[in-house]
Amino acid sequence: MNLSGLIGRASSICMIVAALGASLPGVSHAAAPEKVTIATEGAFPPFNQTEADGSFTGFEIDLGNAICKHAGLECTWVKQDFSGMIPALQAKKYDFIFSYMSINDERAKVGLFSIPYITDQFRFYGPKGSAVTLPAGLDGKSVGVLSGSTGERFIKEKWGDKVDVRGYDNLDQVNADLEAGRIDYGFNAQLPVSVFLASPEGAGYAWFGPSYSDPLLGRGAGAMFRKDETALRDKVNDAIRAVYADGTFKEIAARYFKPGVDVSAEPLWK
Amino acid sequence: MDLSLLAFGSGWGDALARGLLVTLALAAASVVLGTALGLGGALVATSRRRTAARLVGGYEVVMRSLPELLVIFAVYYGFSFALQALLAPFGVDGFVAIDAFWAGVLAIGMVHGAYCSEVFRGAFAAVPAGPLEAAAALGLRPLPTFVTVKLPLALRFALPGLMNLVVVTLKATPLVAAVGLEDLLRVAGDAGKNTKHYLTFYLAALAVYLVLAAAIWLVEGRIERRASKFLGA
Repeated sequence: MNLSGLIGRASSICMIVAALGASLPGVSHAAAPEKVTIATEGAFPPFNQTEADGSFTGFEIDLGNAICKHAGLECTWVKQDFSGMIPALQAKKYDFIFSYMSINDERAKVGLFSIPYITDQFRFYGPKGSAVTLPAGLDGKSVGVLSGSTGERFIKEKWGDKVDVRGYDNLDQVNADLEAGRIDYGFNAQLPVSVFLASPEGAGYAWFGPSYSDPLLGRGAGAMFRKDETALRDKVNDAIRAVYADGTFKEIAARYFKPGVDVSAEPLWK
Repeated sequence: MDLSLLAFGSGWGDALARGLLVTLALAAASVVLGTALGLGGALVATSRRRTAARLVGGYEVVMRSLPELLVIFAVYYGFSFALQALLAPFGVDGFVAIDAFWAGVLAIGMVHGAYCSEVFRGAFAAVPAGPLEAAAALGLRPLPTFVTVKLPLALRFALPGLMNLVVVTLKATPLVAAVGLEDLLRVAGDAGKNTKHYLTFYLAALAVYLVLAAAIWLVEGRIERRASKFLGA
């Protein structure tokens, strides 16, 4: 946004004018879903990230665009912090969320989910050679998780009395504190962690224990809509099935994930 | 550290510059609004209108007690929901876009104003009785007395506190990133996440904030020296 943009915003959408009811500023009509806006965090590689020119790239951006094409939607991406994503959906700032939102009952109460388009199991990771027997080895250890994530709920529910669970805003902070020795282990979905483990910084770290899939951990990630947007949701559902069926999903996944990593959510809805 | 990451054109320089512009505009607008609110608040709080003074005093205590982030959310989502509820009977169904920038200005400005009010109240109290008595003896009416005698003297006392608040508010601007505004620190964070060169970008942001704060202190020192020349201390 440049200075003229700032001034433009100042004159176009002035909340005080709006408060006086003198004009109706930027109203996006949810009733015409041919043009839709989609929320992305824009800071969760390899799923979504922001480029220097302000554009978005990543697995979800490519997949989302493919889904939009199939559904005949004209999609625009907007950036939104993950923590404020559901309130802003309800405030109709955008039409749906496509930003690795894990499906769970709590969220399903306040919104409408598509079928999952991706799934990723959770696993512990920590310094190489830390031979941990689960769950006894967790006693008194500190574990970094994303705050508000399904992983945090799962670990608190299961081992909350033994483990010191530390919540972080993003995975990079978890990994940074792991490297700094402030926490003993991390517990997260495998895909984003696999990026860290493959990087030079992650060379001294490895997975341990089994992969966890549990109702508490969610049922894959789906697009999230407002409760009353059934028509748009159904359209997106059909499009997700279509990109799985015609091989587009596999092709996009191969661009971002290591061979052998299966992120297909098909078993969850087939 | 790879400095080419900060380059304009090929690197993140342009994005960071846009972020800096947002930070500066946000801080400047918030300070202007907040200082005006603070001055007004101090005048009401020190006036003889007891009820109004108590209301303003209470409002300011609330503003100073709340986390700034909460005020930002309250303004951004609160106004948005309220407007939607208000407009729904008129068939307007959709997101009533409250601009994140102006929501941030209002929220940070309100907090700034609450602190500013305290500074002004202290400054008004510090104005010695002599000049005011002299003004009364000259037959000056209350408004000219205030504008030509009390306010100029009070401003001299208020200046260090006001400039302090400018720096505090500059440092509060990154909070507005929570409602989607891309300020300097947010862009630096995005760049770090994208390139994994966090240190480079956070150090660059740190340097910019330091330079901005230094500039504010420099200006403060100059104005203070100039202003106190005429105090005849």
